[in-house]
Amino acid sequence: MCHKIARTKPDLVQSHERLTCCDIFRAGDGVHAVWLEERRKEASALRRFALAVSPYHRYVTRMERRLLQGPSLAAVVCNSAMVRDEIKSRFGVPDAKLHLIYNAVDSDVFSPALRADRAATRARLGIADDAIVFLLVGSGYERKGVATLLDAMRGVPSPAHLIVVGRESRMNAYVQRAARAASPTA
Amino acid sequence: MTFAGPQKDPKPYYGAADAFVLPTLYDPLPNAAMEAMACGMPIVTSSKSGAAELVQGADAGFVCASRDVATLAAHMRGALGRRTPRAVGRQCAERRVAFHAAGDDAATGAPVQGVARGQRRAPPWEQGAHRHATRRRNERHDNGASARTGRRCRSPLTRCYNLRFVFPPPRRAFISPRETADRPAHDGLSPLPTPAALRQALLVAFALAVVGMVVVAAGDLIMAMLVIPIVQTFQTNDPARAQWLPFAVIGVFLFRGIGSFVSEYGMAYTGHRVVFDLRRELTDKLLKLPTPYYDVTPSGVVHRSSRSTRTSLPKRHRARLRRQSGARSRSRPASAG
Repeated sequence: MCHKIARTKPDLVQSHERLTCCDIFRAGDGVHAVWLEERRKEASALRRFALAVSPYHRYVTRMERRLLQGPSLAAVVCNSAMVRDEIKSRFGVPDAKLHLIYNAVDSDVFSPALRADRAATRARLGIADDAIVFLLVGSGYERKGVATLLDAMRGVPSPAHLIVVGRESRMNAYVQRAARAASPTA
Repeated sequence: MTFAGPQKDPKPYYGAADAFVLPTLYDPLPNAAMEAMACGMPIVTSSKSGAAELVQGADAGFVCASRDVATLAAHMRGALGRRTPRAVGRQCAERRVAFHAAGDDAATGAPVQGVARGQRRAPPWEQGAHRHATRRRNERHDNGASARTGRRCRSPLTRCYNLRFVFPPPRRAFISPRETADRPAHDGLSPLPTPAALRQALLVAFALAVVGMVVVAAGDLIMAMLVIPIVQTFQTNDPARAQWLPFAVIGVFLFRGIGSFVSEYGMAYTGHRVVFDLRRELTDKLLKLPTPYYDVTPSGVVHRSSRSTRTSLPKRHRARLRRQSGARSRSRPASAG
């Protein structure tokens, strides 16, 4: 990719991936090194080892470092102050290069008016009207902390219900875990 | 609990729910949380979530550490508070979250309030995942082991191995894995990992050994296949091939060598560990046999093991002792238990 850019010499290169030769980098995925660190915290030794030797993770963290400490970088677009502070403290990128732009949400689509369908949706899912319903929307349950949430559901007074929306490759494991968490003996 | 799976249109779910929870390990800016905020739902998220700063800025929910189960549950209760779901719905209708304003607040660098609130580490009994509890327990013993042996081991295999040689606490001559399983998990006396942890270490070693064998087999096969280009190179005198062939041969040998190391090490580990466990159980048993047993059995005779030995031996031996002291006959140890 970079040699193509060097050949065509565009005026400005904005990348959303960790590309070492771009001018503007949008850190939409955050800091990969921080994500790895968070994953390592409670992982088993074998998993930690797997993360440490994984060529993919090594490659991505190396590229991230090269990109953020490289000379060609003109600006980094962060989508939260958390990411901005992480990039600043971890890679020493000066404030002037860091810009914070939040994502937008269409407040006409997502509005309290959605509660009009509340009863219908609950009936479809077989959830009692007076139950307290917690919702998690997100794909990749490990990252989203679904396991923690399943454990925490035990500490919530009934009638409570949890809806998890999103894709997960190891769905069966989570369904089993939910069944275990829901059983009174667990 | 409902696992709805991937949905093209998640909007009805936002409508049906009372609160949005996302205890993410790391998420720069979860759009789902922002959508939920736009729907006026209270949010509970983690401090490693980009939504945390928005939630704090707009006072739209709670923030806790990502793996803190107890605090998360408390915040989930708090998110609804004393309000009934219906009241929450009414409030949602009244309040729409202006998170751009919230974002500006956060952008000025105001510290995110309340993040530290969630930092308390939950005690083991509040951590639901058993595996974590086990690991922590092992780690505690691991620390103890390293304090005695003066070195720290990282891998699960070495950890188990070292633990075997930690001196057990006083008054207890020996602790078998079986006993460790029966004892409550938190008594902290046992220097041994749980049987589950042991089995896991064994399984890992065995699995690695199998992988190593596959690697060796593959290496042999590739070596045989390499003979074809080698012969062809000599026939045609192709310089391009001659350049990479030596590297290929060396590479295959390295690959195969690593495989054979892993397989032999893994198999040896598994085999020795199994024999070691058996021997230890035997020793354990012999040490605990009641004294009358040695009155009637020469100590050099290894007794044919019996499941009932521990519970029923004293009584039966009393009878046998009486009989033998009368008859003065030589005992037949094979049938004693």
